[in-house]
Amino acid sequence: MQFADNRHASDEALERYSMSCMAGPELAEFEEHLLVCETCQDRLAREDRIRQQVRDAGAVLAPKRAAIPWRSARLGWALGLVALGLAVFAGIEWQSLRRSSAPPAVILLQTTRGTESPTLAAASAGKPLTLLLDLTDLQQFSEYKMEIVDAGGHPAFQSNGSPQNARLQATLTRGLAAGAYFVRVYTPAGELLREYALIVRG
Amino acid sequence: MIAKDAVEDTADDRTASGQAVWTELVEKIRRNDADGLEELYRVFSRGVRFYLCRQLGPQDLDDRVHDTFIIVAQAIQRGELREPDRLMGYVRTIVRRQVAAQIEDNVISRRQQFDLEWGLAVRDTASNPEQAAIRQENQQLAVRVLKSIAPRDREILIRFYLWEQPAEQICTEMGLTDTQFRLLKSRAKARFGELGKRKVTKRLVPFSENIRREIPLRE
Repeated sequence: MQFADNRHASDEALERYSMSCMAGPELAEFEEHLLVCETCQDRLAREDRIRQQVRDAGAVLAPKRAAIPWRSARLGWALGLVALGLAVFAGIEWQSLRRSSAPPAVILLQTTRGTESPTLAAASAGKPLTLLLDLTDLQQFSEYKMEIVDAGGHPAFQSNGSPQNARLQATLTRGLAAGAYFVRVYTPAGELLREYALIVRG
Repeated sequence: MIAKDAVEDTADDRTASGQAVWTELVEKIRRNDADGLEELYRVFSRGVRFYLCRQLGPQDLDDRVHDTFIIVAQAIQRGELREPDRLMGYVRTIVRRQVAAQIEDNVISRRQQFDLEWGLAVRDTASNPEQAAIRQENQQLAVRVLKSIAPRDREILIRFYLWEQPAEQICTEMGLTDTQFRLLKSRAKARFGELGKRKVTKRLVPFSENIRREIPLRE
């Protein structure tokens, strides 16, 4: 069959789709096109590959960039340690202080895609954590219920939230203990919509 | 009609022609015409395979593609597709349902495993030594490629793909116009892909040369 409809997706559209930033009618139109367009399938596969490779490599390179100003500011560290020591001396539970003041690690949870083994989202135990749940393709509600259960299925965290830009955000100020967790998104009526895996390393 | 911002239109009458093609194909399948079924499989099998593989991975892929084809063909034959020109939309809906059903199955089976025996609850997510080595090697290669491109290009790629910063923010913080950003990003991606290929090829050549040295060719 020779398709008369031989248009192709723009680079920007491919990037947005690859990054799960496309929604609504545009997503439907794009995916319908993708089902029949081998050129765009190949381009998307390439885009996915580049994105994954940059993320893998960037994760190694980027923290070094961020660490540079900190290394040069040793005085700041020293002052920080003195302040911390005073806080302990004053009888404040420094663990809770550290938890509340440290910026939360941001973890993006997405559905599994691609031909390779997925890299599970991982966080550090006992540290503040902000979870960003990708709601792309889910039925839309003004509010969702979110639940985190541990490996035994026991609830570890529950909250309700409104999505922004197709993402649901939840912050756990005290973080989670080390272990495997499942993050579940429900409709307001309690119907399960999606589940993500989350590893918290000790 | 495909959204203009998602897909570049090159001719006004193409969508109408495309719809006519779908209508004709649907009519063939309704008549249980073998050519029509063959055509449907040929047209959609790659796209459906690509979509399912991207969403669910390669496991049971052939079975899933086959199931999708059967569901679509039978639905058409039963007359459930009321708008033949919307065939692509219908196929997409079926494929998405397949994906949702598979995820639901995974959730249910995981819950059942929890109930049966706690020890079965969490599978070992660690890679086996071979997978770990491959992953590490790929990452090292990607790091080398990313390091070898121009610092500004590297920064754009990291900001865009790793930090997922919006184009406006990248433009503001890096002092770029929208056009400059798009051009630089495009160039950086091309360079990244090109260097990646070159480094992989370079690593393969010595290996093949070693083989040649070890196994003398017969004259």
